[in-house]
Amino acid sequence: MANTVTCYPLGNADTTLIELNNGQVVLFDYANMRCEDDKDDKRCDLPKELNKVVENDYDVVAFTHGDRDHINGFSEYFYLEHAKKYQSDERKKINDLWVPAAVILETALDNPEADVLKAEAIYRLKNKKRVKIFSKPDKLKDWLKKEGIKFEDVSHLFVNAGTLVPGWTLGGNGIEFFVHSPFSEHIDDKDIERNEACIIVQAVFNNTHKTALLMGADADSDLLDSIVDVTKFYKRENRLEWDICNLPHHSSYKSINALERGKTKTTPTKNVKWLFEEKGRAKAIMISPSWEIPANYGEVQPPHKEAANYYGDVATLKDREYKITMEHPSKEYPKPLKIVIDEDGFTLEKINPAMAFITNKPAPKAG
Amino acid sequence: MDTEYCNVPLEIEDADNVELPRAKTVLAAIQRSPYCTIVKLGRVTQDKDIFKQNDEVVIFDTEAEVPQYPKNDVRKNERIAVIFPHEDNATPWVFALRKDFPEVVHQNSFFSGYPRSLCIYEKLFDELKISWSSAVFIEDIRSWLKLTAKGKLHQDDQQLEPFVLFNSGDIILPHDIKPNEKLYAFVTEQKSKRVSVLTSRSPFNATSKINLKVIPLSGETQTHGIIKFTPRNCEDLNSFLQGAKIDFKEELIKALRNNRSNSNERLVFLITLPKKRTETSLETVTEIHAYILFESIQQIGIKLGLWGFFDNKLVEIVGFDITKANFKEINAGLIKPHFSFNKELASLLNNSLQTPTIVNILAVGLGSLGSQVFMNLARSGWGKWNLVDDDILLPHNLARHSLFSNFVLSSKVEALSLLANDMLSDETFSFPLYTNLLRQASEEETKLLDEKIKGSDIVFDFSATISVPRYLCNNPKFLKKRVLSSFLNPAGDCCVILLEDKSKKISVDVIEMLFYRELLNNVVLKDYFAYNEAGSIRYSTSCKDVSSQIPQDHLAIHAASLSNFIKKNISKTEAYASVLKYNSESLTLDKQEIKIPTVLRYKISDWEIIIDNILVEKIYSLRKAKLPKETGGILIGAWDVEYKRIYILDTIIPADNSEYPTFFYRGIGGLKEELQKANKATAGTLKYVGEWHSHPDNCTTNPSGDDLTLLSWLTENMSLENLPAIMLIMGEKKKYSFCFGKTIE
Repeated sequence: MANTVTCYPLGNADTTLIELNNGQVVLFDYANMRCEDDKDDKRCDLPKELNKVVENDYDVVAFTHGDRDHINGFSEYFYLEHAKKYQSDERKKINDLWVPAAVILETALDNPEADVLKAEAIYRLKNKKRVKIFSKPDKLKDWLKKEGIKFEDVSHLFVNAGTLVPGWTLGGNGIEFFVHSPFSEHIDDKDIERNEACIIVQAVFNNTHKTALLMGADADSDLLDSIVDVTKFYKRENRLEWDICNLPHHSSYKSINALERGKTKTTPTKNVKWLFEEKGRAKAIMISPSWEIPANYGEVQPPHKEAANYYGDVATLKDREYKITMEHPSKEYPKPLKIVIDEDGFTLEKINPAMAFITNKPAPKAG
Repeated sequence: MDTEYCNVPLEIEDADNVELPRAKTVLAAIQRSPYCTIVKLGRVTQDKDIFKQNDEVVIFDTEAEVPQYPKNDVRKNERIAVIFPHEDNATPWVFALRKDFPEVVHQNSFFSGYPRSLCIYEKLFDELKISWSSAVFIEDIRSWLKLTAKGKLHQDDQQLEPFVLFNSGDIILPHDIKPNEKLYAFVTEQKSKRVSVLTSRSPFNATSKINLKVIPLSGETQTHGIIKFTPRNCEDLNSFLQGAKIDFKEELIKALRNNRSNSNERLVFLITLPKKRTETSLETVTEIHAYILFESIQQIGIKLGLWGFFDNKLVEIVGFDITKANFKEINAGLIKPHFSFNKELASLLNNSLQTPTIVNILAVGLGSLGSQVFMNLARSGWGKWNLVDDDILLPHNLARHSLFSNFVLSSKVEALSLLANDMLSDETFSFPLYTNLLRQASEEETKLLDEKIKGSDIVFDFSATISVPRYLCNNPKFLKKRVLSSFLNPAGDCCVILLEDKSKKISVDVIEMLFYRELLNNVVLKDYFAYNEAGSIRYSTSCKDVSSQIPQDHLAIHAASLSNFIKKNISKTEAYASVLKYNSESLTLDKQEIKIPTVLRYKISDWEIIIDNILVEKIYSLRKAKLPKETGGILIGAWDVEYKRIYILDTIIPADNSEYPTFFYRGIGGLKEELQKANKATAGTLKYVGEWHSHPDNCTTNPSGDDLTLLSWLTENMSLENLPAIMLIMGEKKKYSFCFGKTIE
């Protein structure tokens, strides 16, 4: 059995499922965006798709941050420990919940589901198990004090940037997760404060080629610049290499250069250029979890054609690929984008949907 | 980096659309696939090689599932050309157009100058087109690319070489050919431009019209992928063989010079090419390629400028320059090598694994059943055989014997052995003993037969006589030889299989008797001997010259079941007996297995009484049912007066017995009818052999005064047939005894 990485066509939203060959499953974000009443909605029915492959519990569900396009509908799908109403039998359990510290600290949330996520994370934190909090800013320590929780009792639940997520090893599970964000660092006489940021990790698989998956979450170029600086400072450049990159923020130009969109193509910042052009290995793949690329420049919402043009160049450089979740395999019938990772590196599945019409969709009504 | 593509070397004009139905549907499938893009369409304007004017061409790019680190250099995007023959008489040809597309397996060996031709299907087009789907065709091309990229298209047991499309004929080589071995060859057939060549280690009688000179060449080891294209002339051949470090031009000139005296003959080159799967692999496989030159040695010599005629004599031209000779003018044809059939191949093709040690067989009776079983097993290379039969093949045998009319009046065993050994290229596979097992014509025959018996592990008795199995059970030569006996019933719908256990605890004569008992008690087999006597055919004038009317298809079915049984079961140790009955209405075989009991043997006087636990149980339960009264009946079985054996097999209870607690009169009610029935069901084999009665509890099984009176009555009556009297007394706890009566002369 091989490892797989699957990205789901959800419009501008992220959900990435990692299935390991030992049977463990790790989910990054859950955003069910499909409009059930709209028959023409081409976004996939996420719970249905996930349940096709995930039979039991999730070993890990990581919410990279609390925005709607990363958590939408999660409270309807998962078994949540903090309240009875989320505990019906058909719900899927989360053995370990990963959230950035910001999920606990954020107040005045305009997204009610973010409140649910916050409540679940806090419940688990107070229970001192089945949760990992990424970064430990002082604010969180204050919060713990206020709640009457001794930091020493829960310190094992915190994961810092620049380390591997404990409990996950190449030898043991066949995968390791190196944490890039959120973080706060003092380098080159500067304080870099990124505690509010989303979770960004590099996952490495234990195959011959040590296939690396970079999860871009919603990083903008500022965050990426800082990550590159910090990583270079610690001479851990290999921790930014990637074979598969889940592109940040649905191919937004802001992740390439937040200040300068460019007329037809966004020019990357120095660090972003290095990250994509140098650190992407030959024949690597970039996945944009987004709507199809628009025909026009200057659109407000991502994906931005200017960004897509840049990513197109990155692809041409080393025979890489740039795939859009809502365009794979075709704009007409987007399907989950599945990547198999084995001893030949990774392989993007390219199944002709026309060949599977019998099983892909129910037949039209017969009279 | 820009990818460079090449073209198919044909005259092709661009087209806006395709017309051929198959091309149209393939085009539509390409347009529908999210992984394919049309590049261009075209039409062939001039016949060339196998392509014809109006063949259509579809060129498209396709994305296959290619891993990041492919085993073979297949790219994410490959350009494919498909050429559709306008006559729709062949699978559309598929070419990969990228200039540096790798040379991998499952490619067709095309002519030089063509791009790599992908072998998408192994099936023939005629078969393929029945279930053709253009969408599947496109997917199969993509799947070919995917599996090739992953190095998984090539199964380990498959041939390493590309499929040779354009061979000029076939050549049969000895299966154990050695490099540079001297062989003789001649052309057996030359039909529709194809040649058939037979080779041999010894010279042929010069009856052949075209004799060939075989020139063996051997090359150096190469990694696989030797055939890149199919050579069509000696120039092609020369460049093709450079990889194996063979200077073909030099070799050809040498061959011409050495064979000037046979200048009307032709040359065939047998080229041994050792190869490895990969650069690093240790295992070397040897391929043999054969090329025939179509012109005579003389014609080639003259064409190349090596020889000329001077005074009507063929002489070598002084100053011949090999570099100036036009080798392109000398046509060569690849002929496909096949290896002679042999035991290993036979076994492989029959998917029949040999038992760990080869079974040495003495087969007796090579009539229709025996000959067909033998040939079935010979075709799978199974066993090592001694064939015993003193019969010759007569015309009427041809109805069912596996020999053909050219062997009429030959010894059956000699002909069969000759055919099998020749087929398997193995002189030791079978040995004919043209003699009678029971009596040989000379001491020499006996000596040879004895020697072969000694070397055999098992005897297969296909003689369909009662005498052979009896002989096998009683002759000390066969004391340790296990016996399998098999025969058909007169109608030919049933086949009986009787097999002794490995340690010979139960002998075949007893198993045969159990089979007769089965005929009495098994309704399925009640018609075993039912046969229309009018159906027997007198094939000659003597009263013994009668052959039965059995359809060959019945015989073939039984021979097939039997050979299959032998391969599967001969290594098992237990005894076995069954009857296979063929139902020609339902076309099914029904198996009636016969239970093998424990056999009990008693020596009394010079006779041996044989009984088994099944009958003992039956008699005991009959006694028990009538307690406290006595009961009894008659015993039926068979006599073997030659070897002095009494087989007791069953009992019949008369309807009018007079049964009392201390005595018993055996009645006669229904006895005659029942005996007749038993006699008929077993073709007279089972008959009356004696009496039995029971003793009540708390009594011995010793004969009472009454019993002794009965015994002397019995003895007197049996002595009329020169047989002893047998009386069995069954007591409590299954204790029984025999009373034996014999008149003294």
